[in-house]
Amino acid sequence: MTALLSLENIACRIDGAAILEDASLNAGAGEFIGLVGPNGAGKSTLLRVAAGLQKPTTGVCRIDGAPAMTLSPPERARRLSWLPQAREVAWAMTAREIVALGRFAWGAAQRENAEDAAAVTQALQEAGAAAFADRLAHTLSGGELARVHLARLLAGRTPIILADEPVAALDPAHQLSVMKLLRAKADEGRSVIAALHELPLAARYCTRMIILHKGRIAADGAPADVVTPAVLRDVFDVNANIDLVSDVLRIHLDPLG
Amino acid sequence: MKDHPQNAPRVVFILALASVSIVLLSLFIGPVSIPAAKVVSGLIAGDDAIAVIIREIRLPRALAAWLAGACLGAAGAGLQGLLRNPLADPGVLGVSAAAALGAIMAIYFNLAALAFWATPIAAILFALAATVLLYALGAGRVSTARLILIGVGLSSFCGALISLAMNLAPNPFALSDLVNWLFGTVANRSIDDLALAAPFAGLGLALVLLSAPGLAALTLGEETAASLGANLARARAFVVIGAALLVGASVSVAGAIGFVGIVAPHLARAFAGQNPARILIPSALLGGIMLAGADIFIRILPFDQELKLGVAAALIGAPGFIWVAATSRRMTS
Repeated sequence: MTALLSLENIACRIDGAAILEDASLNAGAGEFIGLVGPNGAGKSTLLRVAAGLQKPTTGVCRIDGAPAMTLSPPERARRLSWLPQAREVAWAMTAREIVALGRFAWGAAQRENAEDAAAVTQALQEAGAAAFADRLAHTLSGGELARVHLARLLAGRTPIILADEPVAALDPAHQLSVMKLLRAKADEGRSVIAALHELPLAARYCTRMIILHKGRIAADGAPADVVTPAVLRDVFDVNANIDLVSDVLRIHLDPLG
Repeated sequence: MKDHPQNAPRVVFILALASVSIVLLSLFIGPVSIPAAKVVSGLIAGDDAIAVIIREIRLPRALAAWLAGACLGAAGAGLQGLLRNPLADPGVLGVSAAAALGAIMAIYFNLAALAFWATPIAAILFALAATVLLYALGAGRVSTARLILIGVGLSSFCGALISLAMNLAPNPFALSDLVNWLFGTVANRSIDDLALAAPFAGLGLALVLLSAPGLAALTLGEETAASLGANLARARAFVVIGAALLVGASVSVAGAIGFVGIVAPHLARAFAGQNPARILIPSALLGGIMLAGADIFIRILPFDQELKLGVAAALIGAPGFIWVAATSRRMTS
């Protein structure tokens, strides 16, 4: 099976600082990969390289086996969608208009066809944003706006979904529903990679976890194999008690020392 | 303010109707009092003095004011979409100042006396030269914040050269000519002046309209727009070159006129919503209506010396600018 997305020996230096070193990963259909690591580990840069927004210093990024550099921006956007950590909305457009931008690569900004409209409606419903689809963005709460951005991410129905901290600043109920939704997208046969800080959520919903540490991949595998007291101590500087209770990892964290 | 995107075609229709009405209304106003029936018959046919006044003096003047305003409105809406800032304006990038400098140079070096088209063409060429310079200094590669800073510097430099030209003006007549261009006026415009500017205005408008989808995507920020598949380098090039052509065309028919590029898009948003792709045409129409209206206004004022159009625009527009600056907000979350 060819991976939907593959990163081969990616190194990334920005202004002389090594952000990523020799990072390789293959993401296949049906995988929900939780990308975890301390602040500054290189999670966002890895996602930006995969999204084609950051040119790696060395290494190749492939989408469906083809080097990403050979794809035009719309060709790439039809295969891959990306949710940034900073979520800007410069103009007070309606939630639905923002979500419809997720169909940009299909020409929806010029003319929205029936498929575009259906994809936008479905994405609004899945993300729980349908109730305020006609409200202007600046009248929405932070959590509502986060769901609008999530709907925009899903509206492209792309095989590859990249999300940078999709549950940051959400209340616990919405964190759970977003993680469930991303897992459902993976179960549909898409490949989802999300940068996450919420280790218990990641361990519970992701099919696979990759731990980034100082720009290198420190561990890669099933959550139960990757989230170990040793790894958490070395990478995150925390003491961890971990139990497996009826297939769910219970993680309890304490400061070192 | 409620957003009704589906209203956009209706807004465009109403504004187009208002544009035609205000240009027609303008034909009834001038120093010579002409009965309404003769205005209409003079517009349609005849070659008597009244028909000449209507067709060769009042109609070109009304169309020049409308065209200059429409160009500034479209340029402002395009640049605001590109820079994601409701305070952006051709003035911000230094393009207006460069166009004014071009006109001033043509007058100062007496090129204007050689051919009627020398001044307008100089304005357009300088607007384009400013754009080329912006590109050479990094537009299309650097962030929009830096682009604005470069524009501020360019604007100041052109302003200094304009001051220098006025400082060194050989005689009061030359100075008064310079002042005409700097203050902006559409008095004594001919159909030839309009014909000269129209192709540049049309090309500029087409470029800005072609960038409309990219401007909509840019609402979510430059990186997100790129990830959505928008060609940002092309959108930047189209908007910046299109705005240069529009500003050059506007300066060539009306001289330097400020604030329309800020106020017209702001009003357009109130009618057509904030989607930057949908306010381009409403902004152009509103800009045209504003300047054509201001030109009617200055002709019915009871002053011996006619108020310059640019002065009237600034008197109305500067408070409008302050209002926009004080009330608009950028959203980031």
